[in-house]
Amino acid sequence: MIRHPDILSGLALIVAGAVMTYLSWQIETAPQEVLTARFFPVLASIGLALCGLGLAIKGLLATRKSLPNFSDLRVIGLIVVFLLYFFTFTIVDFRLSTWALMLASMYLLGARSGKQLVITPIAVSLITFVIFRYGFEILLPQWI
Amino acid sequence: MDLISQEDILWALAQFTDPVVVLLLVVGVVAGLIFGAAPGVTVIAGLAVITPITFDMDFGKAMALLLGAYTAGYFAGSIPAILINTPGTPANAATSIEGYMLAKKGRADEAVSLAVICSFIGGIFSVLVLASLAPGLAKVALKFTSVEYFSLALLGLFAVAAVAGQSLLKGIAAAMIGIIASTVGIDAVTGTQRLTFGTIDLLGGVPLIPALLGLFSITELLTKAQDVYASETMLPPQKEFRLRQVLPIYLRNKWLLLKSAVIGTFIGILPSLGPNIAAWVSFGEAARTAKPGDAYGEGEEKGVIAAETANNAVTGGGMVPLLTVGIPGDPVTAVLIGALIIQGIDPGPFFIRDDGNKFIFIIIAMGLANILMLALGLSARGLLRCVVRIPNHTLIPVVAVLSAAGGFAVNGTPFEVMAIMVIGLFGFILLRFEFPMAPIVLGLVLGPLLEENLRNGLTANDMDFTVFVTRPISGGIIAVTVILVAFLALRGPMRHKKA
Repeated sequence: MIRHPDILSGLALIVAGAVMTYLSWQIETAPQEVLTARFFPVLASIGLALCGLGLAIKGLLATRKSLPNFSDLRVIGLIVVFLLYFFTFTIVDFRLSTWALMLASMYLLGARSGKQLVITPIAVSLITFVIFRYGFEILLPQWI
Repeated sequence: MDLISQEDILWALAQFTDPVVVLLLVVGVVAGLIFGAAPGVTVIAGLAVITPITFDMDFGKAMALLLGAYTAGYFAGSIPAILINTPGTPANAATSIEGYMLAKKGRADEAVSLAVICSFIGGIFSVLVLASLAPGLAKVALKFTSVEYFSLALLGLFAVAAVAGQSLLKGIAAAMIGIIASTVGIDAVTGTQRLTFGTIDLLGGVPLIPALLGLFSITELLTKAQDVYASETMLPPQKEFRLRQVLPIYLRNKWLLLKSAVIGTFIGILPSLGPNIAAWVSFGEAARTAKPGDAYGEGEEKGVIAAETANNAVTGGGMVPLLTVGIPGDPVTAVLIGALIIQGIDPGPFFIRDDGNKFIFIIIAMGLANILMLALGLSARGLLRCVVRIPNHTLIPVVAVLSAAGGFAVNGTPFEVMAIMVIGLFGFILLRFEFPMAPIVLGLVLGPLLEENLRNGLTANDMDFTVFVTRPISGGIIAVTVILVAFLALRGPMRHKKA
């Protein structure tokens, strides 16, 4: 059992730093280059790994602290809804997807008034569409 | 040699004859007021949402919109600070101490009125300092070489990394993440692909706007969703405050006002400190010099005056390093630098020399934004209280929609929209482990500047690394950076010992 979050984040940074150093080392270079394209990313990756090492040591020396909680169902639900919305943004009509996002998110976040759940999603999707389409002249995804 | 000509001033003034520019300034101020007043949604998130909209706008329109929001956002954060004891932005935390106590005594209207007028005074003072100081500093900065620029960028980055979060190591690690992300794409010197993994979308690098939206907007929304049921506080019936009552209060506190404006502007100029530190320092100074009869902790108007004057005075001060050396001093100006780059402008020592007209435009726009903030803040302060009452279950998805639409506006491709969510989730996980977001963005913005100047500095000096400490200005800046980092590294253990 990890006794402090800094140990976990420190180890993650060491791994990330090592992987990034390896990947940066694979960047192509030409023999005549003095300062190659890999120079700076390698430097930053080593810096990241060193920060991780420092953090892990700090965590080992610190008093016990619990890991952050990622099991809040409301937040997990919201992440799923957001992922669906952002990843299908360009293929679904903006008005429809925004209406669905608003409805699902509002319900997840505790809105229970029927009137609110009917009016707000429709109003937000239409108003945002009109502002972006006609105010800022940005073409949002639309089927019709 | 004068960097600003009469033509520059006339050009800048002429821009404001376009009603669309004025309208966008008003829209920007209103947007800033709304984003600032909505508790938990910060000015940075507001600017990140607005920036993509400015893609197709010309310089004047884009800057009017952004500077309006930038100027008004900090004041508006005082409204929830006063009414529900929840600062709209971290810069308003000091305001909530005395402001909320005033509200509990039925004097919320007085506190909000004082906040808007003080914000206006602080803002105008800092704009005047920006106008008078920046051209001189830019002249000095013109003499800098790559060596000095590298050291300055390093100071800017480490200063933010050091004060952004609870841990210095986490701040520096966050900055390293940003720097590594900034190296993705085609190397500007050799033309080599770096860390793109064969993805065409990454050839141009990690996109800045989606990164800003992800790190500042999505992370904030997910964090806010955790305390969605935060209880509202009931206040007693409130007294109406008449504006003619303001003058005697200001005459009584004229020195405090001036002192707070100077503190805010000076702290704004320094890298990394920003409006929340300005507000706390100013508040602390006001409390330190309290007179008998002052009721600090029980609703003292001087606390509101000090905090609100200082946090808005940062707006002009923070623009000084941005427009003279091209280094953003805090995350908000990092967003603004992104907006300037989008406009094809390279902020730095050449900005005022080559685009003096645009510099003057920025000064006038910020001055006008302050006036509009005062007018709208005073006339619509009742309406702004309604923003505070927008329920989280509506606010969170609305900001998500604006973020997605804003991200889509960048290029109209799915990549940017998906990147917002991926970066946002990554940021949320980091945030849960108490990594600050600001150094990541600063690393992303300053990474190319650091790399370019490091490579140029070394190449021009036969790969001699000591040049960064042997040249006097660069050596001085590096010394300040080392002292700052060492001080902050030692401060942590000392705090633990005291506790």
